[in-house]
Amino acid sequence: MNRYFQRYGKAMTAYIFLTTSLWLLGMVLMPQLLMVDYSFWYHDEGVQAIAMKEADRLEAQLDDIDAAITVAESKLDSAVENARPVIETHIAELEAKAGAMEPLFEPLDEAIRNPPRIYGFKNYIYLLTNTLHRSIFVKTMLFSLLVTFIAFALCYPVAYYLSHVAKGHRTGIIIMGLMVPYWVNEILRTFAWLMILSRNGLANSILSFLGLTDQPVDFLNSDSGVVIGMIYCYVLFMVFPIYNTLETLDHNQIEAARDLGASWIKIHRTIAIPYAKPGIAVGCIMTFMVAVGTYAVPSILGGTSTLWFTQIIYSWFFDGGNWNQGAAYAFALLVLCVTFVMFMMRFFKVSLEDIAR
Amino acid sequence: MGSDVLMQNTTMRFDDYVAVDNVNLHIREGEFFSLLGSSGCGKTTILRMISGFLEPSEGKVLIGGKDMRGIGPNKRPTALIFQNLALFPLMSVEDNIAFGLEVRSLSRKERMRRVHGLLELIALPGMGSKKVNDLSGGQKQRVAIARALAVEPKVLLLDEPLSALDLKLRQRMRQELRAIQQKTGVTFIYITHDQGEAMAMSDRVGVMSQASIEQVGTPKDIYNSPANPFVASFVGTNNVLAGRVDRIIDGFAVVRTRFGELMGRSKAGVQEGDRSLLFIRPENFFLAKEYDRDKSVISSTIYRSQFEGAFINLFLNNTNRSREFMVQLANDGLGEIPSSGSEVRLGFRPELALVLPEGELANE
Repeated sequence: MNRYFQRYGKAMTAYIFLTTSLWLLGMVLMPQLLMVDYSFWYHDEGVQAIAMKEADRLEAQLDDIDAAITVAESKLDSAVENARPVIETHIAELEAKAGAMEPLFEPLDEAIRNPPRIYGFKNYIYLLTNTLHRSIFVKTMLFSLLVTFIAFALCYPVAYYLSHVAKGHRTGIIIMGLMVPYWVNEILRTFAWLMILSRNGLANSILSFLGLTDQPVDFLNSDSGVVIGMIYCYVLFMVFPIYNTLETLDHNQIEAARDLGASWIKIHRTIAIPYAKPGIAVGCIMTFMVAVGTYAVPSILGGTSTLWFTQIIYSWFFDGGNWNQGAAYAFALLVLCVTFVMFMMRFFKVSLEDIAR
Repeated sequence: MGSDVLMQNTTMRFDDYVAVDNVNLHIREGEFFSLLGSSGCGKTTILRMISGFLEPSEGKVLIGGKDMRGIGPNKRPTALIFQNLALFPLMSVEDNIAFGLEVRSLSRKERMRRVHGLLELIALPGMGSKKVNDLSGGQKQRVAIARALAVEPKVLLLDEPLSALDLKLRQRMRQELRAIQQKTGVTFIYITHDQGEAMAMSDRVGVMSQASIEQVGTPKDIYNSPANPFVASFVGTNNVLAGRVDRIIDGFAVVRTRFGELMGRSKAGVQEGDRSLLFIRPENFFLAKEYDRDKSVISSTIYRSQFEGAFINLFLNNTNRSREFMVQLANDGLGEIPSSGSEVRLGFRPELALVLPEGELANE
C-alpha cells in the first residue's frame, strides 16, 4: 500500500482502489454470485401445483356462491312482500360467506407467484441428463477449440510477418487493413458472411467456377458457416497478442539461430514460438472465450439445425423464462472457460503475470 | 576448403544509399582481421555480406575460393557474434552452446562432449546448466563465443561484441579473444570503432571511411605509415599542418606551414608546389635544443598545459580551433614543466613526420 502511496499520491491511490473495488464488487463479483445462487435453486413446483389446485377449488366455490346470489336477486324482484326479508337475509349470508373466502386466496396467490425455493443440483443435473443440450455443450466446446486452433494457425504467420519481416510503413498498412473491418459492427460483419456463404453467394460461385463442386455447398445450415464466420470475426483477438510479444523478440536472436544453421521450422519451434508463448496463450484464451460465448455469429450464420450453447442459455432466460436453469447453463460455460484458461496456463507454462503483461 | 575471405568489387546499395562502395579485400586464412571505422561507415554491412544476411548488389564474396552468392547464412561456414550477443534467454548455457550442434543432428553424447570442451575453452566449466540471464557480462560474452565456435566455423565474425563491457573487462576479453583465436586457428573478422581494440588484437587492420576501405595493413603500418590523410588523422592522435611543398630532397619534403618551413618524410604522390599536409604525432615531439635545425622545430605559445603523470600534454595556440595541436612530452621527473602562456621550441625528427598529398581528414 505504501508503495502505491509513494507512486501515485494519496488521492490518486484512494481513487484507484475505490473504483477498482467498486468495479470488482458491483460489476463482477455481485452479479456473478447472484447468478451462481440462481443456478443452485429452483421453484418448488409441487407446492405451486397444490396451491393452484386449491385456488381453483376455492374459485369454483366462489363461482357457486356468486351464481346463488344472482339467482336469489332475480327471485327478489318477483317475490311477495313478506318473503323479501327472508331472501335479503339469504343474500347477505351468501355475500358474507364470499367475503370470508377472500383472504384464503392471498397465501395461495403468493405460493403460485413465488413458490418456495429448493436448493440443489437439479438445474445442473438437467444439463447433464438432457442429451441434446449436453451434446450441444460438447459441440460448442469442440468447435470453439477448432476455431481457436485455426485462428492460431492463420495468425501466427501474420503476426510473425508483421513483427519481423514487414518493414516500416508496410506494417502500418497491414495493421490498418486488419483493423478497419473491425470498425464495422460485428452483426454487419457477420451478415457480410451470410451473403458470401449463402447458396448463390460468392463462395459457391467461386467453387463452382473452379469446378470444385457441382452442387452449391450449404454452408449456412452446417457448422462450417459458423466456424468460418467466427474465425473471421475473432482473428484479431489472436493476431495482436502474438504480434505484441513477437515484436519484442530481438531480431538478432532469429538471425543468430539462422547463422548457426537452423532451418526456419527449427527457428520457429525453438526460438520464436517459445518466446511468443504468453502471447499465444492470451490469444488462444481470448479467442476461445469469445467463440464459446458468441451469440450473434451462430444465430446469423447457423441455420435451424446448428444450435450454439449460448443460444440455449438465451432461450432459457428469454423464451423459457427459467432464469435458474439459464444461470446453471451460463455457470457451466463459465467453468468451462476457467478450466480452459488454467489448462492453457499449465500447457504454455505461463503465469498470470505473463498473461497480464 | 580454405577459410580465406575475398571480396571482389563488392558494392552494397540500399535504394539510393550506397553503404559499401566497390570494396576489394582479402582476409587471409587464420588471421585476426579487424575492420576499424566510425559508426555508419559500412563495416557492419560488410560483415553481414560475409555472413550471408545481405547479398551484395554488385561484386562477389568468396569464402575459401567459393562464390557465396545464393548461399544463406545457415549454409555458410561462418558464425556471427552479435553486438548484443543475442543469446537465447529461454535456454541454459549448455543449450545455447549446443544449439548449432543440435541443428547438425549430432548425437546427444557428442553434443555434450563438445559443449564440455567449449566450456573448458572459455573457462566456464560446470556452468552449463545455468540460465543465460544469471551470467555476468563477461560470462555471457564467452558463452556467445562458445556458441559460435561450436559449429566449427571457418570464419568467425564479431560485431563489436565487447562494446557493452566495462573498460577493465574489455581489456581482459581482448587478450582472451586473441588467445582463443590462436588456439583454434579460426579466421576472425572483428568489427570495431575502438582503435585500441583493433591495434591490440589484430594481425591486420582495415581502416574504413564512408563506404570504402582506406587502408589495410598491420597495426604498425596503419599507425606509422598511414596511406592517406584520412587514416593519418583517424588512427591515433595526429597533428596536421597544411602547406605547400617547397622542395623534395632525398625523400623528404619541405613544406611551408604557418610555423615556417618544416620537413617530413614524403609519401608517394607528393609533388613540388602542390598543397600538402604534414602530420606529426604528439608523442614525437621533444623540447628542442639550441642547435636543432629550424626545419624540424616549431616555436609557439602554450595555450594549455596538462599534467598527466607519465606525460605532459601541451596544447599550442592554434588558429584552427576545431582541431587541436597537441604535444605529448614524456615526464622524466627532472625537467621543468612548461606552463600555460609560456613560449616553447619543440623539435621532432623529420623521419617521424609525414607529408601526404592534400585529402579528406577524419572528423575529430
